[in-house]
Amino acid sequence: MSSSSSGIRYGMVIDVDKCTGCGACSVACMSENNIGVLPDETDKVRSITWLRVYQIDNHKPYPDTQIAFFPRPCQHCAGALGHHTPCVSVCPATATDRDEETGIVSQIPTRCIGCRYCVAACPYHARYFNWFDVPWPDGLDRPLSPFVAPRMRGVVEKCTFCFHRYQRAKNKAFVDGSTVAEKDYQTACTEACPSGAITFGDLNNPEHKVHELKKSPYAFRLLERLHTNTAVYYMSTREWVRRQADNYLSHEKLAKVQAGGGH
Amino acid sequence: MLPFVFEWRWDIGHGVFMGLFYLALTVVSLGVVGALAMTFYDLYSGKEVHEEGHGHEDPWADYSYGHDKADRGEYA
Amino acid sequence: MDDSKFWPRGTTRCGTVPFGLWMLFCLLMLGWALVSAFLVLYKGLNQTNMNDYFAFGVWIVVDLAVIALGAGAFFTGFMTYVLKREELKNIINAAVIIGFICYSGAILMLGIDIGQPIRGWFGFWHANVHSMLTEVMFCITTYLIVLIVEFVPLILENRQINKVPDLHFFAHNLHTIMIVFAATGTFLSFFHQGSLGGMYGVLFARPFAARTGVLIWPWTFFLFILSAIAAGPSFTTSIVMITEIVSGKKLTTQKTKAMMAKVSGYLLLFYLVLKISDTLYWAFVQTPGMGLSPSVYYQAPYGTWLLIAELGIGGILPCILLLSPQVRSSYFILLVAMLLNCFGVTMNRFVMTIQSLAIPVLPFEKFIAYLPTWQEWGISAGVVAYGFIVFSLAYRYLPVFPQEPKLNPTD
Repeated sequence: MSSSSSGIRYGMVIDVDKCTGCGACSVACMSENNIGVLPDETDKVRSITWLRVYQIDNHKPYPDTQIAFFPRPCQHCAGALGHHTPCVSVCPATATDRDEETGIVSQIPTRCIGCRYCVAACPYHARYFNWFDVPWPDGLDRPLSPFVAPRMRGVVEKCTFCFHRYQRAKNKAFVDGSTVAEKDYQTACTEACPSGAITFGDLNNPEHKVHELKKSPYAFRLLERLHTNTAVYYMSTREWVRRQADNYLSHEKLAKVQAGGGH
Repeated sequence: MLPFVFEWRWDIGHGVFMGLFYLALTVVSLGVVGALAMTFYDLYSGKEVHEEGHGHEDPWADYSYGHDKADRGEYA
Repeated sequence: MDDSKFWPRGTTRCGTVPFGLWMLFCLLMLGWALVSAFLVLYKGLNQTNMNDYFAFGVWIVVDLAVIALGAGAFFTGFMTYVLKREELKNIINAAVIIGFICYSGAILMLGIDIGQPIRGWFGFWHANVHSMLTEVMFCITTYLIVLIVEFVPLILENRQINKVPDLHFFAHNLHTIMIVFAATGTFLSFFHQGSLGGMYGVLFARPFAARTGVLIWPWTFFLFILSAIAAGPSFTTSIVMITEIVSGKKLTTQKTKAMMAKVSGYLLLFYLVLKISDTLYWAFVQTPGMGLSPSVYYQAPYGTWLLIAELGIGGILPCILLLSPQVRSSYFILLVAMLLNCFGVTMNRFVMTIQSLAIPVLPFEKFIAYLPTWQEWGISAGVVAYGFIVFSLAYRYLPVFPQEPKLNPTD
């Protein structure tokens, strides 16, 4: 159960069948969140990509080869019983926390001591450590967004579901005397996707698109068997794609997807 | 910035953890303070340091390692 | 130049020139470490080969290994002062020094390992009490305080320092109430040795490391405690035996060594029974339950040889040797058996850290390997050099071994 005092759980449904692997979401995220470009970006194991697009295939030879793309943001796990996020429970300095009101897992870079225990705990590799101080030379600091603090080296960072946009939407709702509308709070990656593969909203709100999409019989989550209870759902009609979302022994059948996609 | 700034909720975990931790620290501190107090008492009651050449076969025979008091059951 | 007036009463030591050369070698090693530390603190952790897949590297392995090996301090203290095993008074000082070296070395290394060392105190100020790492931080630092309190009397018993009445009586009084510190140390060590294991067991999203358990404690909590108290006495006795070989002196009786070996052997047996049971359950029940087969865990270069090395060469073999009375009354075979025990616990820490992180969880992620940079080796060598320096100085100038004058009568 994604229990929260306000009943809101922000999440995503990503239609893998619509994703073309263009990477616009990843670029939009980097631009929105002031993510640094390293001196040597060939070292992919240290690149910071809050939203990373994975390419997978069905392991069949030509002409039966098919490929698909998995955009993978932070999954904003709730864990079993709604309060056992893998990364939040292990941070020694409370530098990451799951917000009860929104279901978003936050990261406080100014509190992080850089022990990287959360990086080890996350099975989705959604967390990134600043191995370098990022330089912003030759005017590259000018397009920085003033709404997101850049991080120094030695701290961990990750996708925040564009929390600064939520804060802006909340302020607007306060001024208007209403609640945060679906259109007022959308992440940068959702807006950037040209094929509309990413849908973002309140999973628990029947008026939001994601609420219906997550109930699709083709909806699934990554590593469901670990009971991470993620907020990010994926959709695909292709069984081989659904089969690569979790670990299965060769004789095991694909887990029957419940209506509602689980929790 | 205090630890209570955001989303802080006292629960039984805090009580157990901090309780045991400060108990351990208190025991160690009291032990050191107690040893210091006993030292001042020894100094002012006019005890003297044993010099070399006592004629003991084992030069470290006068080190007690807490053995005597333990045998008397003081630290049962 | 003769520093014999600083030597413990009734002992002899080698000349200042050979000792000076040995210290110079150690200082050079330490110099390598200081250069490495400077580079890491100045340029950042990109000086290592750690990355977002290998968030932990050789430093964490060394930290875990030295803390496990340093468990000899608390467990020997427990046996000496709480269980009143008289024979072990002859080795407890050495155990305390080794424990001090291990814990202070581990904390110094952690200061380099975390991304923001100056913020290290946040783990205490903004503590997340539900995290195993918080528990580790609290208990290790408090236990280091206990070790310092246990080490100080030994320093004050240096022949010259001991002549000062204030310091003489303070040392004597600390000795008198040593059981208080030994008992607190036992309590703290139980928890942090366990929490270090708990750190891995609670990673429920990492199938290799994850374990079920009892209440909030995964089985790795208890397995780490057991492996530490099995290897700790072995490590302490091995260091003493190596010191004996190097100095050409007998420092403790065979009876003391045999007792430490027997304790190690039986604890190792108990540990292996539980560890092998846990491994079988984990491999054949838990892992398939997560949709994986154990072969996924063992890929080059972290193959099944690791399992054989950890549980066979570093586990069953030293266990058989240490349980044998003939081995316990021998010398070199006993030393080898104890070193193999230490090797086994080091392999266990390596496997839980490095192999855990090499294994992908998402089906479309890769299995990757890790090799440290020279800077990482430098810091690791620094901890070893630091240990050499502290132990060498302690052995030369402090009355570490009460039986030494009696066992070396030509002195």
